[in-house]
Amino acid sequence: MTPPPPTAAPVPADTDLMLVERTVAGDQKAFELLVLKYQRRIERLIGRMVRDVDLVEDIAQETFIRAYRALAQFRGEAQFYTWLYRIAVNTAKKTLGDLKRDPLVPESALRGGDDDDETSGVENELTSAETPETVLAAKEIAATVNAAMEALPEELRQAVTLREIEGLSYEEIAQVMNCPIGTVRSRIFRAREAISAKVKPLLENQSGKRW
Amino acid sequence: MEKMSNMDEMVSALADGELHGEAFARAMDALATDAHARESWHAYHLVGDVLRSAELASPSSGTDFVARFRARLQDDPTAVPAVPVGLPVHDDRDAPSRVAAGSVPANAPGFGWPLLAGVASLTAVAAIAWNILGGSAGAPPAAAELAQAAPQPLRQMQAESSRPVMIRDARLDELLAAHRQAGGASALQMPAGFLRNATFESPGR
Amino acid sequence: MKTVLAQLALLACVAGAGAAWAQVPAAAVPSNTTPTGGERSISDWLMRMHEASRRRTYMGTFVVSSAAGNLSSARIWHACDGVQQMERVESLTGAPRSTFRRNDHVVTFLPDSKVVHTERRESLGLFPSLLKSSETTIPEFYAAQVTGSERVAGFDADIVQLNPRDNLRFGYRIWSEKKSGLVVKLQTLDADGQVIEQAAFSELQLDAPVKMDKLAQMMANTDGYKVHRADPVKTTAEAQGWVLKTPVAGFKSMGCYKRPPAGGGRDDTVQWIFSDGLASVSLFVQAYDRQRHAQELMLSMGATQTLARRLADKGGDWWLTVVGEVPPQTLKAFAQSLERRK
Repeated sequence: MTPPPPTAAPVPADTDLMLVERTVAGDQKAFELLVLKYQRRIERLIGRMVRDVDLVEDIAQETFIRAYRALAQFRGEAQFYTWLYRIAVNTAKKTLGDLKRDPLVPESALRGGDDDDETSGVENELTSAETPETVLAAKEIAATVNAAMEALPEELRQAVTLREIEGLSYEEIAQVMNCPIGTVRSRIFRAREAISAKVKPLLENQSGKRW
Repeated sequence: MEKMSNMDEMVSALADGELHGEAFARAMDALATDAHARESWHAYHLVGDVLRSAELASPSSGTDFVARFRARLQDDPTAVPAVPVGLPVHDDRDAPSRVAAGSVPANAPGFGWPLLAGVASLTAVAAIAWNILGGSAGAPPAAAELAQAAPQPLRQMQAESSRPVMIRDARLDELLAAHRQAGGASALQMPAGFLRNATFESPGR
Repeated sequence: MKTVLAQLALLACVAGAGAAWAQVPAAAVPSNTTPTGGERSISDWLMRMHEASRRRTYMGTFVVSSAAGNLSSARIWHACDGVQQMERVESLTGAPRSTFRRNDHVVTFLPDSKVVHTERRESLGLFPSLLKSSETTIPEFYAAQVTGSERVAGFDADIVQLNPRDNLRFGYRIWSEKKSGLVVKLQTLDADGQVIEQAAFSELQLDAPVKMDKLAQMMANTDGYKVHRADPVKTTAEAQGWVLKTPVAGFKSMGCYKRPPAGGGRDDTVQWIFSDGLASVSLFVQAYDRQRHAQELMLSMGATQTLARRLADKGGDWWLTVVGEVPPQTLKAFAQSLERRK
């Protein structure tokens, strides 16, 4: 079977870079999209170094603030996330350093601060600092995503897998699945919509409370 | 490309870097003003993250986090990205130790050796200043230089270790590196061991 | 030794067809059949993991974290073309550092000080022979079970748990990518089952387009850098005058090396390496120097424990440093057992 004629599709752009450029041009909202995109990964990273939930969020906030301030220095040679990653680690280390010098800060807030404290309930896993409630909610979400994937029609599941897990571009997926690029885009969108619809009820609502 | 009637589909394509020109601009405008579009942006990325790693599942909708971010920015008049404020990516505090080429920043927890609790004579250890090698031009300094090198301040040592005390010693780090080179003797050392070797290696060798 | 190594490298690097990854080479694996909840024995699992790390081409971001909060991460690239293995590691935390490896040759660039260290590390690659020999004792000291599966960095992985049968070693929880066996996440567990160290890919691309010639180019480019060579010299413990009066259960001697003086010392350091197949222990012996050698110490960093103490007898005065991914009591057992040959 002959492949579809090559369309004049532009090469996929680096979304992060596009958002950075818009931010530097004055569009703060563009940066907020990056915040929404990377909040989870940055919090997971920081959660490996810090035990206290509020502190993790605090450091994550500080990371994005610093990144925002330093954005003009990001030249785009490296990946944006790699650059953000370094900022997160440095911010966490700096904060931990500051806190360790502060006699008023309880050691339970810091990882490694309560090795000798038998009542601290040392965690079994090196996951980020979470309450049992959020751990449960997270597991539910992961399970829901998996179940939703299983329930997808084959072509939708394949399209979203090639995109999210294999990292192929629309053009490449079109060749693999032997269909037009517009169909690829539509399938990926419908897959995401179907999965999101099942996940959204599990998310905290606007005011931060669970449904 | 056919037109997309659905803004969510445009957001989906934008997330993949597959939206250009006028469609890109329209989607960016929608994301700036339409809460539903941002919800979709958030949800699609959450789905992608979770597909790649179960650990990234989170019930946060991101709106609170972004709201707090916005508030912090507003409080800080200097936070304007277009004008480089000169805030270095690396900590200013790291700068002095970087002058001594290759040395480890005194307060980088990643390179310390936490003492196990229960070690006797902590005060005795504190009295012996283990100099942190400055690593001048990378050659291990001779013993004489060692004695002269100003000891870097070690972290606060406590008489009772209720939390791990960090010790930094480049000689120990050298032995550690040599130990990790022996990683081929164990099944689990590749890639984890060699990579641990490379990630934990002290630059002050 | 070099010829044997080259042969091992060739063996390990023969690129098989995709389907070959799922098969275990029938002749090579000993038939110890510790129940693993599947068809594979421990040796099968470990061999797959080991081979995958050597033969596959991949790139990703690797993160190591410990219960004490230490964290370091790096981007890594690994390629194998059937003849050679190449690897590149770029630090993402701490001072910048680029490490390149071609088979047993390792080159480390330190951009801040413009120094590059180059070494031949002969000990890499010993493992296959360890596992293939009928003398493998790993199942004697560890029990294995498959406890489930989970996705890590976008890949489905089997979770294999290795529980030590005695208290001289740590346990492990290993996430092994289903198709290739590549270890994508590894947790080291103490006697209470607590995670003391975790090493994992946070991003991974298998069969990534890694260009070996590009890596080789970067590895060879030492312009502007001062080059330091430091090849350890192979020797034997016997020749160096050391013996372990009581062996530590499960641990076999894997070799002994003399390393050039380090950190201001005048004498060579002797490194005697032991392994039980999963964990390794190094005994470092140096001439005792009152100025440099302090109190006895017990240190811990993630899974790596260190014991340092003075060792003296009629024949002389030494400083012993024992380093290993083993519980402290194991280090003590080694330290107490090491003595001068009579």
